[in-house]
Amino acid sequence: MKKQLKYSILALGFIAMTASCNKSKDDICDPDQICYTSKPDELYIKLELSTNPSSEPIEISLYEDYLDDGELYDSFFTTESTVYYLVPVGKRYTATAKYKKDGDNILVLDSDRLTSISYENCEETCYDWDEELVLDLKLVE
Amino acid sequence: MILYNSRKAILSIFILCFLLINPFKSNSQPILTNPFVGSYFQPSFGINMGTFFNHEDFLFDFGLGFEELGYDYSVTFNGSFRPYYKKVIFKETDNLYYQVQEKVLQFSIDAEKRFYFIQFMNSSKIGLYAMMKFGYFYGTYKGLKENRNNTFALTPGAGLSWQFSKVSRVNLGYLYFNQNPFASPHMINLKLSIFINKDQQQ
Repeated sequence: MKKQLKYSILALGFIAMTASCNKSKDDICDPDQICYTSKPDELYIKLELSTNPSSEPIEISLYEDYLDDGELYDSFFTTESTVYYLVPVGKRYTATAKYKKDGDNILVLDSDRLTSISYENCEETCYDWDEELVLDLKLVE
Repeated sequence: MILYNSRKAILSIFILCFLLINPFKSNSQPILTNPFVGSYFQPSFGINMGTFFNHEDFLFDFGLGFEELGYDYSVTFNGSFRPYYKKVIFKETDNLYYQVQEKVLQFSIDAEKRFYFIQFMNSSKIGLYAMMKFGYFYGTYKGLKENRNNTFALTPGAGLSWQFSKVSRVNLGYLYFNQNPFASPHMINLKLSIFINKDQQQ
């Protein structure tokens, strides 16, 4: 029975290790690595859209923070399927796209935080960030 | 794709746990037992991990708490959650619908009673179980700060229970998860429990 307990602990350990694996950039020193020492002020949000079923332009609204607890940052109409928008880093953004279908309005929401991460490389602070923050405002079929 | 990978991952974990823990003794004599008679009070500590799912949804379920091995019941504290965002549509006002990405969570006290009617000489037992989750359920939605669909709910379930060693048990059954607003309430529940059994040295 000790064997069973040992195997149980092994199985749990395996699950815990699998769940906790995460690549870290801490404590590295690679002089050949590209290091951006300036923190980016602004980055792009990519808004992915569907075609409006009513064929009208889609009303896009961009909020700082949440829809129900944030401030309207900008609002515009578009017929494009992809829109890029340059915004300051370090904040949460919520985007909405208003579609019209069968006389009803469907407001599609997506939200995420636009951030850059910092790490130390050879006693230098480097910054890294995603190329763009993608917000999925596509209408479900 | 995420849903498929999650299902694949949990299935792999269950198979791995099963293969590592199962003692592979299948030549034992089965004995019919009275499922309503207990032996003696054997309090213990246990953990459990599982999933409940159907064609529309998939949730993980983890818990820890009290296991009673003499009378075959347990009371545990469990947390359940959907590990991915699901797109849902709901009516906000007249002529206005929201399409949002939803995650759901539930914290619950789970009470379970098992009725074993076949016992093997290698400590393996097979029977039925009935359980109830007394839980607090809520949904989180991308872009909305306020959680929604918050509710206290009862979640009943029942099915087959197989205690395949002195320290582990697997349950497979039905769960009526009615508080989940955007999926069918009829779910399959698969749960692995591991507990400390003081009799395991005997």
